[in-house]
Amino acid sequence: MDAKTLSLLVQSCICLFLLVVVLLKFWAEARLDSFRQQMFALRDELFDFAADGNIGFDEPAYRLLRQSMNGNIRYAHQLTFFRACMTMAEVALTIHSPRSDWSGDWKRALEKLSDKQTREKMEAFHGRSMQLVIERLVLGSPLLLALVLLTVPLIALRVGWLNVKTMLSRASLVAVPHLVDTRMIENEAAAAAIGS
Amino acid sequence: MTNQAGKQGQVNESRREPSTFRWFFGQVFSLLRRHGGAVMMWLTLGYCAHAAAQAFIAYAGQSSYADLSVRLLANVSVVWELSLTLSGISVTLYVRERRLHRNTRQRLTARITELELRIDPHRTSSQLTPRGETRKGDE
Repeated sequence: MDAKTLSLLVQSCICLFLLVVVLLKFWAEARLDSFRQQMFALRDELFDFAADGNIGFDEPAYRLLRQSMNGNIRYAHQLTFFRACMTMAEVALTIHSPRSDWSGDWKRALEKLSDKQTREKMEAFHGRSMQLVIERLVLGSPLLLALVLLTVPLIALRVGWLNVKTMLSRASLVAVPHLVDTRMIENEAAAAAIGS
Repeated sequence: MTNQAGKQGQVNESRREPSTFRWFFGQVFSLLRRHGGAVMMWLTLGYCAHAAAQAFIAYAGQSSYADLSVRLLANVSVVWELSLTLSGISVTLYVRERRLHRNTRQRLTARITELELRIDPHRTSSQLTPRGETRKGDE
């Protein structure tokens, strides 16, 4: 091995080391901060919606949605595809009963809302919250990202081409629930928030 | 009736208790979920250190330390140096901006919480630290 090859090898090792640090530390932390920031903004929007008198602060639907958002913010660092798969495998193997039935409670709480517009708005808030969660899962996993990119042409064939962001968003909503149980994520997030 | 209820209870109990096989793999997946990322990072770092060490071992006894250092430095490319400098500056700027952002968050959080509690006394929190970081116990 000559000095040039050795030098190249040392440079490659240092670069790989720095890449690992940047990807697994700084990039991961930036993504985490960004997710939390977006979820905080959505939670603030929900608060303003209630403060404007559209829904009571004691309404179960409001409290449940805030609880779910709090859980997602608190345990956002654990919200990865790898961890989701491990949790699903753990739940399947140890036959845990769900820690909370957030999805069922949420459905019942929505049915209790008499005003149709408020119900639709609350559903929209929930949809946006789930969209953020799914985006976080997809952007943190090369496998999910590849799956979403493969789904884009299928969606384009079915509904026609829209802008890139909308297509990626729709593809995520179609592809991810096939691999990850989103209700399990909601239940875990709500259980985490209760546990505080 | 009481017997039936007792049997039902036993059946439910046995359903809740996983077999040793399931329990074992459940624990394995649980450990992987918690520490998988760290294991992958340390494996990569270990591989880098191993590859570099192997290269240096090849030179052991054939060349002096000073001679090797000079030859290594002579072969460091300008592109590599520039890339490293640019990356270093970028990361430093990011870390600085992040610290400022967290300081601002810490300054405003208490006020926002107080104002929101006036409107909603049962307001619930995300339980992050005032700087918006994960709490120690949640890691």
